[in-house]
Amino acid sequence: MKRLRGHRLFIAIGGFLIAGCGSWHAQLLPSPTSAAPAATGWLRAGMHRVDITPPPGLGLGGSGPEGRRSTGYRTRLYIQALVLEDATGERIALVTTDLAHVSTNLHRLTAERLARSVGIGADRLIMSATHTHSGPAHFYAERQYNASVSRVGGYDPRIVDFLVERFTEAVEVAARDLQPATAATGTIPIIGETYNRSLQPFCQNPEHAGSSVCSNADRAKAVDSVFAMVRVDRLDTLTNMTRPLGSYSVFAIHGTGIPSLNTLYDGDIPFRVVRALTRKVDSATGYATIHALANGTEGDVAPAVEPRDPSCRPPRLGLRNTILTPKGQPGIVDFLEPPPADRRRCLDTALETIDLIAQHIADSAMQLYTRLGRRLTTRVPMRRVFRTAWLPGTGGLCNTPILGSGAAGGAEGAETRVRGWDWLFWPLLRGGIGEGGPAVDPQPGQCHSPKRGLVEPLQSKLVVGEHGFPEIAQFTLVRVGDVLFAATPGEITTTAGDRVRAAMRAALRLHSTWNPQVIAVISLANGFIQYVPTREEYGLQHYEGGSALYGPGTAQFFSDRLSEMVLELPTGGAPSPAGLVAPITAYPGPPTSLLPTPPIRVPAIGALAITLLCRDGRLTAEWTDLAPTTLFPRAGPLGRFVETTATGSLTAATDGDGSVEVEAKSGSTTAAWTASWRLPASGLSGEYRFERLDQGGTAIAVSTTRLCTRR
Amino acid sequence: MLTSTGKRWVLLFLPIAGVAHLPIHAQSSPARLSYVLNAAGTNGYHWRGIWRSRAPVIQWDGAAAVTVGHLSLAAGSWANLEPRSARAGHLSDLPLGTSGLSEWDLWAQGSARMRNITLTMGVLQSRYRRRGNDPEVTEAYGSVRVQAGRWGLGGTAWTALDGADGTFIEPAVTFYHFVNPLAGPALALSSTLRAGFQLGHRIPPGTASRTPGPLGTGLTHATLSTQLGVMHWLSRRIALTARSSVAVQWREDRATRLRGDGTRGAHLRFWFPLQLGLSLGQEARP
Repeated sequence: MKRLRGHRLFIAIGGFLIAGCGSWHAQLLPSPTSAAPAATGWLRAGMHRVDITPPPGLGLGGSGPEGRRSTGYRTRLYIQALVLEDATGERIALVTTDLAHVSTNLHRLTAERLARSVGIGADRLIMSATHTHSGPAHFYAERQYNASVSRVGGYDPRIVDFLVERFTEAVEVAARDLQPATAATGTIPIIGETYNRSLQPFCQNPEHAGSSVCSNADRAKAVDSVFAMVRVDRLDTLTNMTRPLGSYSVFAIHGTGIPSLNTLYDGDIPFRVVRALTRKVDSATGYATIHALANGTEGDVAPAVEPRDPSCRPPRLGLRNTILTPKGQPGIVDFLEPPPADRRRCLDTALETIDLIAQHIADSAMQLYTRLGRRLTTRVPMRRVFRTAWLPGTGGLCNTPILGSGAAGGAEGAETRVRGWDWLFWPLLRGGIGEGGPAVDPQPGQCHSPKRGLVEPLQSKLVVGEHGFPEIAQFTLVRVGDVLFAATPGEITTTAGDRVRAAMRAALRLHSTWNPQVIAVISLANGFIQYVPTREEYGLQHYEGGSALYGPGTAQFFSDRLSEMVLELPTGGAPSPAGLVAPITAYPGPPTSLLPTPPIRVPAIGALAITLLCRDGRLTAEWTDLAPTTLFPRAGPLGRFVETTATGSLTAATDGDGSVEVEAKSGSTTAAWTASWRLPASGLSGEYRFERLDQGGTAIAVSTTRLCTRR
Repeated sequence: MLTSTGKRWVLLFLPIAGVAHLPIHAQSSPARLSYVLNAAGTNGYHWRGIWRSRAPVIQWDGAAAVTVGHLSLAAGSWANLEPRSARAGHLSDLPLGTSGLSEWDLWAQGSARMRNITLTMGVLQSRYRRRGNDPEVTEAYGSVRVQAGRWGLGGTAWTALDGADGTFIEPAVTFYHFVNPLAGPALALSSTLRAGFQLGHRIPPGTASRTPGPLGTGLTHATLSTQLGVMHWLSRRIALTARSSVAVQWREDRATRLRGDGTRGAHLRFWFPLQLGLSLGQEARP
């Protein structure tokens, strides 16, 4: 009888757990460790780039509920991978991607495949996001992120597979192409292209009190302006000649140059920096190179696109265009999108500005790249330390992650539609949706104080629930020559980054004689746990403070963990010991199908008829073609605008380069495509045609030629 | 020389014409057709100081509109059905002992929208089944609606063209407690304070009832209501709408069927309307 009771209890508990796991959709992630290093006696390097542009239809992640559903693309999205191996066989993969974030499941699942194929486990793999807010979502390991990083909610395991496959390909090809190399590391300051969007919290830090930056409100100087680069060249061991391979850089800049009303995939400023740098290097050297740009301590650092054009306002309350009948009920009030003309003006202004910013950053990067060419060496020691940290209730962090109401209004320059709503559900629920002010709620003794939780206690009890937010953080320290990379999953503010670096240097002094030229903190790497402000910044509850999920001690937690890890950094000649990769669990929520599927049978489309229109200096090609799921992913361009000149034809713009906007409205097997290109300068006039290209770059359909002028 | 009716039309038309000439980019957009079909149930029907029914009624509303840029033209009809047999206490428009359609109206209007301002001008003809008791009334109306953040300000003026006299004005102010900022259905929870004034207004409620109908100048009613409206898209262009509200109304009966002797009286009453409808051609939320 007693045994029966015990049996029933076991079944009940088991059933409860299964039900619980069902609602959380728990997935134990792999814990792949790297193969033991095998010395070759050479510094070796390989680089590869993979296109990850998905078909349209997915939510654009990063802007929360302001992130629209994608209708096409303006730039292609990529993964760039650099695999480096020093003479002792210490192998590291440094990977960047045009996504808003990288999740722990992407990291661990990619590492699992790489550990098997090229010996790179989670402890030697740094995957970081450029933080573009115009890349796809739906891949997170956390349910709440899948629900709310985009206006389109949901977790799609097929997007995880899609991305993991491409991450794996990028690193595998780079690793299999490892060849003797030389490298050099260095930095250059870049001032004026970014600014601190949360100056008041920045100036709350005692180290900045009374500084000229704060007294003059010099936002452009209240940032981490260091651009750090590892330049890598191939080495011909017979002739001792080198040829450029590429670079890996870190620079702090938010991926918010493009406003949230955008509906196209776009790599934002980092993509354009990489493109401009690639063109400069390729043009100067005659070699095809690959460059990667990771994000630094960008928590409070925005691109210098402010003030935004007024047409970039978020949706405002207005009457929906319902028919207001004289005796019926009143119309529905809703958030209305800005008029199409406003949206177009906003985007055009932003695109012109970010092209300039990217060009300036690339100019400086090219200077650095050229300078590093004179310092290339094969003596580039590398070491690494990896750690998985549990977050809730440890090291000064709060037990429960809570989003502050200050976060819901959006950051300065990226405001949401509800910013300024001090009362949500007035008079029942205080919101404080906006930075500071009502978002501050001093509650002595409360761990999160003075954060006012967004719709608390509903948030933690009903909306987010258990395991809804991240519970672990993965940290990696990698020494590459004179640079120490600290890869973290947070968005660290400028001052928090300074403190983390200072703490690491202090720990390093106790431990070794090595004094790195620069400690480059890589944000948004191997996971995502939102913002890391200092305690003082947290106290003002601006956007960054409201987004610090685990309370005021987050920056200190980061400092402590990274300082401890510095002490584990091997100092001798032997490679790093095998890393411990702790098992972790993902709770992505229920799976749903968001990634469009290709048709079972590809229809015969026949000859393509392309119509070309010119309106207000913008050329638009329209045609019916195969669905995006059939045409993508593809390596080459889909089409191009060609100018007819007196001497022949000239490619004016190619899709995917940031100037042509491609959209597709899909039917079941075919889609209505448009490619739109704005003539780049006022007063420009010419005769143009649009060519639809095949995978090999040959025109398979051509529009008629049309005269177009931009006034 | 314009007649007084002609002057009213001109006055109503001026604001629309003004807005129509503002340079708005959306003007070049193609024509768009939309339709609405609503059915509502409520616990009574009270129209500008006149009880049309004190018993539960079903009302339906159908309209079609063509929109070009910020201008739209719409026409439709509205009807009131009484599912229960009319009794004396119902103050119904129906003959005693009968049920069914008691009123049906036809209307046509033009609207202009500029950002957060909506102006409307139209004509409404109200017809009653109990002919001879209730005359047909034709009125011109003009309304303005302004959305300023979470506040909605509006007002409608009705002026009689035929079958009635005078003008009726109904200003309203609405506060939106919550509007869904997330994806999914459009959802708004709001409270409205609405008042009704008549200026030399008179709608005879029927030659057979010996009562003069609401008469004169002054406040006829004030209503405070809290309503929840939801619009859920079934497809990209088809939406299901639902609205419900709780309202408390203070009403001054300036001589209605409620008081056969034509004396005044003030009353408080709760309304519980519930409306379900279908809207076609309404672009889904992004």
